[in-house]
Amino acid sequence: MLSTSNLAMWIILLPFLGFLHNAFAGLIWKKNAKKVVSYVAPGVVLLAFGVALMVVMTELPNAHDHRLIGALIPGTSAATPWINLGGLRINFELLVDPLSLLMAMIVTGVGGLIHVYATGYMAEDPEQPRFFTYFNLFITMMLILVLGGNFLLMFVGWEGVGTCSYLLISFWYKQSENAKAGNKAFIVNRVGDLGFALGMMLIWSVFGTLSYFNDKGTGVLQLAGAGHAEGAHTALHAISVMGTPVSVAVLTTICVLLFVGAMGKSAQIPLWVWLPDAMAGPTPVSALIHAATMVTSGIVMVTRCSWLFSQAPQAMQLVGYIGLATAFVGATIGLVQNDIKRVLAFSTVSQLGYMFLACGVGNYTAGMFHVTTHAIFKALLFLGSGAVIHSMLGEQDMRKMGGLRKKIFKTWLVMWVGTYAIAGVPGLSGFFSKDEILHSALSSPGNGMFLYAVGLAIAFMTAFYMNRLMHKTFGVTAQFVDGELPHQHHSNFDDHDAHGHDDHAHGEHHDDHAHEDGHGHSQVHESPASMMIPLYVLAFFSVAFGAWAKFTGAFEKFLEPVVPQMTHLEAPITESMGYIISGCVAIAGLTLAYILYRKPKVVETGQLIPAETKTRWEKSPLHPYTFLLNKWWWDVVYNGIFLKIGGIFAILLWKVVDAGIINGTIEGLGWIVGGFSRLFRKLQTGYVRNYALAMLFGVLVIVLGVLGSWSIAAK
Amino acid sequence: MPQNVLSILTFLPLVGAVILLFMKRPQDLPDDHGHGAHSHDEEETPKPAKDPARTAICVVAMLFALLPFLLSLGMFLQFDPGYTANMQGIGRHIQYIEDRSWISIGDMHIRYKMGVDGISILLILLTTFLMVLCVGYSCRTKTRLKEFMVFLLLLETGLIGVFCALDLILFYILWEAMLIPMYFLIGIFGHERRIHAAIKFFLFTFAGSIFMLIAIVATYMIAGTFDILALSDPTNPAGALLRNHDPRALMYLYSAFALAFMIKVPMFPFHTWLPDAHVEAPTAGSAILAGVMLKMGTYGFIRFCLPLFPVQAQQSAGLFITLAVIGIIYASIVAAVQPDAKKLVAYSSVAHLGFVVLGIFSFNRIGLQGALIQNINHGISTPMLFFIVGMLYERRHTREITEFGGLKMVVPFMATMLLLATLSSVAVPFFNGFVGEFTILQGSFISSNGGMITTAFAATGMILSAVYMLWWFQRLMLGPVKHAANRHLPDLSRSEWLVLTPLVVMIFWIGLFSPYWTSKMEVPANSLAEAIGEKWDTSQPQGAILAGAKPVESHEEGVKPETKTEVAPPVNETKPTMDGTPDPNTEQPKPADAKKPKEGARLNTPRNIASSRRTEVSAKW
Repeated sequence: MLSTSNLAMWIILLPFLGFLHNAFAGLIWKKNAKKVVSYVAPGVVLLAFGVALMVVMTELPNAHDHRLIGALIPGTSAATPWINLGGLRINFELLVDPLSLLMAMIVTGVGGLIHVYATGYMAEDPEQPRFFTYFNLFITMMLILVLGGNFLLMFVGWEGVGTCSYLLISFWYKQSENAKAGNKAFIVNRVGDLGFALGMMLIWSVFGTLSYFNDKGTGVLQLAGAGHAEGAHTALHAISVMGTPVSVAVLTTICVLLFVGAMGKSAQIPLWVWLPDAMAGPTPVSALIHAATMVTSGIVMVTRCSWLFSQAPQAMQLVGYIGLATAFVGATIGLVQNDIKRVLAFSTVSQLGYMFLACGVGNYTAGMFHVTTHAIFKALLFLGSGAVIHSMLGEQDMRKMGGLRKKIFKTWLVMWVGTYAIAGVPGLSGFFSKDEILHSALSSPGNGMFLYAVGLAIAFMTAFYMNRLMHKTFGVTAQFVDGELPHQHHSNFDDHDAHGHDDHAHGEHHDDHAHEDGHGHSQVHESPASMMIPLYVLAFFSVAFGAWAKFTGAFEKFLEPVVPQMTHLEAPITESMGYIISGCVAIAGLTLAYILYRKPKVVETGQLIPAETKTRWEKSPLHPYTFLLNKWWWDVVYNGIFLKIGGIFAILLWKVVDAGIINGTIEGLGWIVGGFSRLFRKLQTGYVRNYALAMLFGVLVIVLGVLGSWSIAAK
Repeated sequence: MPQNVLSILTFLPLVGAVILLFMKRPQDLPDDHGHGAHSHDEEETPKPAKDPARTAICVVAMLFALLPFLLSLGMFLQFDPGYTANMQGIGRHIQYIEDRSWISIGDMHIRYKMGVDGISILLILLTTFLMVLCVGYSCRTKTRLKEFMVFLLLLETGLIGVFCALDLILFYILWEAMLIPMYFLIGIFGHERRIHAAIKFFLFTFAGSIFMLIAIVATYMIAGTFDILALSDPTNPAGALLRNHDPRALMYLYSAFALAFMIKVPMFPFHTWLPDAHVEAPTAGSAILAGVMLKMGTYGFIRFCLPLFPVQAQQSAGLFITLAVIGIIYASIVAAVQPDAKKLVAYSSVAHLGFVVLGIFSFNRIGLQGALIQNINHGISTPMLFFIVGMLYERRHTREITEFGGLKMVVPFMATMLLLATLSSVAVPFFNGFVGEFTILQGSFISSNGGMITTAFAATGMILSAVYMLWWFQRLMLGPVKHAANRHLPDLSRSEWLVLTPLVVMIFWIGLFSPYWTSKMEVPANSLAEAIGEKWDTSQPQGAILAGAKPVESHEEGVKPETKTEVAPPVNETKPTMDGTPDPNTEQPKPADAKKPKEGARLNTPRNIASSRRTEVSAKW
């Protein structure tokens, strides 16, 4: 019998009520809407965090097997399903276990802080209530994703967060670029969702249900072998609903299909192309959705299904290699980007790859550990970069920054913390989670050495490009004239249309900004307290969380019941040796950037490579610099195939096949019939003499016919 | 409910139409068609002094749209979802039966026979519901308001009648009768190329129905009755005659029926009349056309093709599924590049109906029920899209997508409504479209007619619908305002709110609480699935083949794996998908009965047993 939770639904309901409130805030509060929303929106999320904590403190310890089920909607139960069609029966059920609670806490905790930050960031936007409507809806959907008690509810959250992401990326829809980025994100994600959906269908046809757990012990994960603590260390065997063992081939198919979904949502090769473009959204969106929470749902899903994945070694290998490749590609591209948010975006792609690497080598706990620390420090970095952009009145191009350390010292400080954390400087949280992944990669059988080496190379690059970012932004000489910063920010209601749209529609670094007109100055300035306080909190946890979790062992112990314990092979090196190596690599990367960007000439221009050289390089498409700058030409190829060729194909299909062949045939038939009619119409002259002639002719034919038949009969 | 409630329901709108005919013809309002970009200013000017005749027409028409709606709603609420009659075939679950002798010529008896089951009651409710909105929306019609309303009400009579008719001739007459008002709605009230579109619409449908008429006559000559209750019942002499006839002849009959329905749906490659008709039709016409008339095609498959010719339907399932999948992909791709906002929605209908056909020809209860609810879903989201496109057209007198852009800034509420309709059409979860689409795909996934690969192809419709719908939305609503004419469009008026809000309510009602709407069709759909030999029962389901597992012979003895004692499910409790008896609602597995659904075994099932079973099952859950 599974324990039930009465509180868990409130984790989801609170943000949902906030969403409803914000959606109708304009009607309820009229002029005060913005003010009320700026309290309600963060308030409900932080309250939800409180509820999640309460569940962890009070309900979880008493739960049998660390697992509770609840209802998503008050008053619903197994007797009132969401879908009940011909045996396909889906309930509004929640699963509360350490994994879902961990994610719920990340989503509401980090999310709550980002909400607070956004109240400052979006304060000047006239559409602030709409922003928070989407923002709260996103939190709701994300919570459904992590807390939902069956695959279909996870899919609801899965597509729900995708929809919110679409809405928020194109929040400043007046720039067509943003709207296109939103579409791209939704559509690429849908490709992944297709895989997820097919995976679910296969799961249903094999296991006969989509619930993870149920009272009768026939939930998918139960059938896959979860929840048998005593049998955890023996080999797992999934059994189908009919009681027969499920073959590895089927499990592999299921896992690969599910992983296709993860590829889309978590921006893995080959479906990663949407994430860099998604930076078109306001910076809090990038921090919350495209760094801290939504993009990690792929890892959450793989971890949730770890009981299935663990029985499909080939699928796990795929996960690991795709993760590694993505981490590598993302890091290399991050080396040369000039847009501050894009560097962070590629860094996110790369770190997500790391997490999948952890899942691929079977250490799901390490993957989730990195999810957690990454959520904290990447949110910090994004919000910090948002503060930078805010200070720079909307400038996102690092080539036009520099020298900000003195001007916005506090921002600089928290950004350094974030940089050290992600680079993996010993002692900070990124160090522990990354090392854990590298260590388990090394101990994985077969090609551990290869995974480890590439992983270290990526860590090195990460340290390098992050320090590069810091130097270009804060270190080198200012590349702009303070006091004459152009206003680049605009909401949808800025009256830019009147005098031409083109002046700011260049490239991708023009849109991200809240309005600051009220202040009437164009100088660099520190951000308001509502934006800084979340940064301090995140900075604190970026420093402390990793060490706390590692040394108390709390994290591992917390997640132990939800993931299968893999038999760990001995790594060739000890753990402390691993610490030393990865620490050295991180410091080496940081130092290299430090040395290069402290050269006087570089400090002066802010560019490591002179601009002329870059222009020369960019002329040859195969030059490594150009290659990386253009994201390995990935977008170009996709655009060529799907937009250009696909578009031509679609038009051909329409013009030639549909309008031409199919419709042409049918209208042609009509024309032929019409033609015959026109021909025969000539007979209907209306003259009696013509008819008389025809009649005579007819009579003659008949008479001749009769005579002829007689004569034949006579013979 | 009175005994002849269906006749009342069917002919109420007709009465309304007749009353309207005797009413005073209101003055036409100035028609500002073609005045181009600045016409919206004229619309904003206060409406010319209210014409009492106009109001009277609208009130009467509304009354006669509302009455059937309320009546059908009452029927729906009173409907007994578990009703089972003592017979086989579709007659098992037909309620509110009305049966009179109508035309008798010698031996030939054409009866006036009507009745509804859980499948048709939903479609009737959809019809009356949409008709209320259409009448409400059309009160703004500028020219020939009276005639417009008369045609709408006539159309309603035909549509309701088609969904009630249980006699082939009665069905055929109503099926054809409903063409006429539609023909005039397009031909008189349509746009530039309306005559061409109206004729094309008429000829296409008529070409199909001619074959159907021949098939109806031939069926009569074989079985000696037009009563589909008898024809669909294998235990009835007429049904037996039909089933034992030469299979080749039956194949011809089946094909003739199927052709008529294929054209109506419309399925690829018979779809080209639809974009033309939609584009030219007035908004209410498009809404009814897409919302209800296309459903007559899928309804035809479910009510006639499958129950009367189960063997032939099964034989042709591969062809139909192929055409459906081609239709989904093909129509989606073609939709993406349409420059005309309305045409894009029209092509999207072809794709969505492809899903419905896929579900029907999956030949199992999941696909079937998914198809039935998707019918309703499409009947809600597509009319909503048409209404909004119509509102845009009224404001700007163009349907060219490039003429719009950035409207979200100008008409934020309309943009929000369009966004909701778009997401519903894209089938985002918790919107109505998702329930149907996922269920259909799941049905086809486990069907031996479909399977994993076919389903994967069909499911690309998920991606493609996002491509064309979101791009469409972007070009209409997002980006900068490109045209000066769009700068000052009025947002939703009160009557427009009234039309759209019920649709939004329905989108989320079905999206979130689908069992309320699907529970009534469950029993007839399951019976139908059994009657057509539910493919995934008799052969191995896809999953089992992949799993390399054989269906367990005995229900009681699921093979228990040694290590996990608490896991091993007694199969009959797990609502299994793999063995012969998948649905918990229709049977408490009585192995012998479930194994070979003998007709005789069911004959004595009184309806109270059926309903008590249901409650048992839900209590267990």
